[in-house]
Amino acid sequence: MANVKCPICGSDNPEGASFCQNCGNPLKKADASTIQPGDQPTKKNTAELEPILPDWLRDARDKARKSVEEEVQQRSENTRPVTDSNADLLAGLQSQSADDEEEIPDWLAGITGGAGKKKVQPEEPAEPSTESRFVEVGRLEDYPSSSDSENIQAAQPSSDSDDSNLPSWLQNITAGHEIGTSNDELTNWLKKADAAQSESAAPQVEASANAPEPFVGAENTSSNAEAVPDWLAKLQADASSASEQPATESASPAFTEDQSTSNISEDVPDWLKNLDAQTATAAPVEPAPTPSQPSEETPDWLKTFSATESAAPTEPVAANTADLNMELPAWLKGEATEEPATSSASNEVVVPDWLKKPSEPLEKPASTPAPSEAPTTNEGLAPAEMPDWLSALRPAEEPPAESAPAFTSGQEENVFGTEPLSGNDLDRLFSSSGSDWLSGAASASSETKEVEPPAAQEAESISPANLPSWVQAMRPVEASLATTPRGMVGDETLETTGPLAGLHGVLPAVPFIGPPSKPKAQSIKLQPSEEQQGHAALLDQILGAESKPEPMATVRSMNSQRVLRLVLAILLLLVVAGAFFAGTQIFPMPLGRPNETMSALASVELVPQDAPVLVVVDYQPSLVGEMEAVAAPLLDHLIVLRHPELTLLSTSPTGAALAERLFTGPLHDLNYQSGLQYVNLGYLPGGLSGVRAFATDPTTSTLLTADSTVFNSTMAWQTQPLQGVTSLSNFAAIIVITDSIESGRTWIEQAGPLRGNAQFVIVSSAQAGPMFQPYYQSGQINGLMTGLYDSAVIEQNNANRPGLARRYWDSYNVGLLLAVVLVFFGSLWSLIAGLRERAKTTEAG
Amino acid sequence: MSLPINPNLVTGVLSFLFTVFVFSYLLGDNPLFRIATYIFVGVVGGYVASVAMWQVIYPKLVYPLVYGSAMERGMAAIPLLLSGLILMKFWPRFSGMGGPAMAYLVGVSAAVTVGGAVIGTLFPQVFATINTFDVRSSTSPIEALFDAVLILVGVSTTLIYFHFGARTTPDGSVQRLGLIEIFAWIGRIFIAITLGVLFAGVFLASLTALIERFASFSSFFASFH
Repeated sequence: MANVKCPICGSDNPEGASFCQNCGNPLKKADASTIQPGDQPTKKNTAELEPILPDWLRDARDKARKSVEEEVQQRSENTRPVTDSNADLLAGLQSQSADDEEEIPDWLAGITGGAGKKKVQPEEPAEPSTESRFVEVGRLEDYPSSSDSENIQAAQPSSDSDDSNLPSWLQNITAGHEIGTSNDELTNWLKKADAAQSESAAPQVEASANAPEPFVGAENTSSNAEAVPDWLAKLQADASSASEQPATESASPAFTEDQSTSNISEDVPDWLKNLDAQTATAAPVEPAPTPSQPSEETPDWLKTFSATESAAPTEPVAANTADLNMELPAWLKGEATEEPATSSASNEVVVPDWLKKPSEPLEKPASTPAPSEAPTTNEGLAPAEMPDWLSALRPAEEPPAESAPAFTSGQEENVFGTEPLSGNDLDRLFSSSGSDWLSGAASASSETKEVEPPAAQEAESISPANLPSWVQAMRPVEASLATTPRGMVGDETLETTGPLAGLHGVLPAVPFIGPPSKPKAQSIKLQPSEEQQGHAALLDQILGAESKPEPMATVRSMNSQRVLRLVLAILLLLVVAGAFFAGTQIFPMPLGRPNETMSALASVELVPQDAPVLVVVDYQPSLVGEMEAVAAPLLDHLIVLRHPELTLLSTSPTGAALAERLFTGPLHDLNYQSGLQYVNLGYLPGGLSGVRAFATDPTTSTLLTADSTVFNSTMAWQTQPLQGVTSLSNFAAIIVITDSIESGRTWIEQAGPLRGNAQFVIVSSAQAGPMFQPYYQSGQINGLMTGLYDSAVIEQNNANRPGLARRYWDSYNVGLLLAVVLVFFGSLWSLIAGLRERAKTTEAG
Repeated sequence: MSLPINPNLVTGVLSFLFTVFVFSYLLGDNPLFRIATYIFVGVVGGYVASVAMWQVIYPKLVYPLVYGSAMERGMAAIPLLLSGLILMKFWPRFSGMGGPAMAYLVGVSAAVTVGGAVIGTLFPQVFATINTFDVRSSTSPIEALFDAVLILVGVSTTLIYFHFGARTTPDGSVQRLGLIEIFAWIGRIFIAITLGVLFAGVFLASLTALIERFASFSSFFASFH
């Protein structure tokens, strides 16, 4: 089972496979449905396709439309009717080419007809040339399709529509034919190419018995010698002179070209002249089978090429290449020294890359015998000097037969002869001239055609293309595509959409971008669904809100509330401070005797002489000023009256220090000493549990005094104040000095039931006093002192000792009075403001 | 050896400065007030740590273990063990070992609190409220009865105020019964009076503390004479 080799990657695929298993490219070649050479473009309405055209194409079309009228006028002046087909794409390109004509170099202008145009002489047109000039732009039906070969040369005056599709330079060629009777140096060559193309691409033409003679151009050339340019005439003359010499066994292209370049025109540059001279002397002159007329209009490069060809035999000539390198430009020298010195090879050496492919057909026929009867006239066009479009044409001009050399007279005649160019040729020319890849494909087509018999090509049917005319005009020639080289086989990709649908290989760059075996790239771009995008947007919004700093509410530095607060504070400070520092005693001491206060005083008086008394100091340092002022009169009264043994304890960490401060501050005058008259047990930890434990067994809950250290540990229960005390009930009185409800209630709840007959007195702050009233009412405590008022009451009963209440009394009353006034007026203001607000609401409502 | 600077003078200056710093809060939060508060917090923290060391750990744990009898050492070993278990909470891997000690503390505290509240507050207060109606021992029975009724109304309405049982009306709103609403409104009056009294007590306590500060200033300045 034969494997099919992929034209792209070269891998083997099973027979019958449509696509390559390795690279996925199609394996099949163009089928019969593809467009074949000679296919006449079908005019279609492409207005709807204009929006999708590329800019450059639309610009070209716009320019074409603008220049239609001008072109029409020019055509009318040249007695050539202009049809509406000028509005097509090629018309625009034609105009562009006409505009660009000035930029064409002289040698190219001469080839493309510019020179011929210059030589237009109205008095010269001859009858034969009139016939042949319209062949180039003839219609398809005018082209030798099936009838006979004579129709190929038949004039087709009605091919104006196709003529309008031609670029200007190509039209100049036809003009040159008209005027000069196909004596332009390009015209013959093109015609030869047209003949060869029609031969290869349209086998039906060759199949007919009256197939066009490939070398008929030569006859035309000779017959129209007067219209032939000078340089071409020179070439013909050289060829004719060379024909007298013995011809080689096989007429190689070099040999034929040598003949055509025997006469060096004046236009040949010096380095080419020298080169020509050297090659002429070094190489044996071979007879040229085809006469060529010398022409003064022969381009320099062509002359040089002719000279080189004439000097280049089938054998290598190393000396020639050495000399050639001296005269060649730098870009030509590089390769000229590396290649063998065969004439064809030497020519190929100087061929740049863009011309290498077209030059291939020149090499291969060199090894094959060329028909001696094939005359060559102007085949001396060196590939190196050849433009792309021209090189692209040359392979297609080669005859398919094995005996057909690359440089045959038929080709020459097709280029420079009078054989007209058909519309297909024009299309091919146009497509070939614009792209190198087509020129390369043309060379491949020549190779293929050597193997493929013409009959097979005849079998290829010309399928109608459903394409706009301008697209068909731009389509690649099937012959070229079918014979593309290996690298171009991948261009057979069938376009399925767009204006190029149905065409093969019109976008050949795609398969050539990457290596053939490169796997298809998979998109790694995240393609989230709409829901995922929504979630992402929501997440982004959340994150954005989190990262966005929220502006902080600006607080006015001075508002009414703050001003009012500041005013009240300053007023209170001033009033209280003034009253205190004034030292006045305006306000009398309280006359009332609260029951709880008097009960507290009585409870203290019930303490036996020198009895142990437990004093619990549970207040915070912030209220030390009030608590000392409240507790000092009661303790002073107790100490002065009963001289108790005091035991100080605290459930607050700071209580121990505050207890010491109490005896070193307000009660300093009593001269009570620690360890003698009182003992400080310090901090009692555990809160409720600690109080409960102390009430249950005080001796185990506290071991050392507060002032004990590692080096001086004092056993608390061995001190004088605690002698004989083993339980809570052994204390004669329990005095709790506190500023909080919780602390006093803890002692009431935990120690109260275990106190026995001990007096229980609560000395509290003014802020906690009201909460102890129920305990006093319930009898759980024996006495209660609350705030500075009760302290003042006790002091009155203690001969104003220690005197703090009295000292504070005026300031206290002034401040209290001020507070009452402020509260009153504040309430009144609030009442008024509320009434006004309500009135406004009523009015508004 | 006497200090070159009178300690009372230093303490007087410091107390004066810190008092001014604290008073500066009248102008709003400012660095002076923050300095004073931070220093107070730092000093209190250090002092409490010292107290815990020298008045709790040493006398109640170290001293019995070192100088105590066997019985005292055995009793001190229990809090030592429980303390060690609580310290295990520093390491999450062994934090579960502190559970028994914490359970012991919470259980004991809850038992003491509930027992003390019931025995020391609830029952005595209930009995006291009832006993207020015993006007036999009072020299002014009418006044005592009025006080008793007032206390009863106050206690009852205040407790009713904290009754939050309600029903949903047909219009969807939630409200208590009409009678409960009336008693709750009365109880709200008693609560307002109580809070007013407490606020007055707070003001009086603060006013006394302010006056004490003035007295301190006076003593400080008087010391220069």
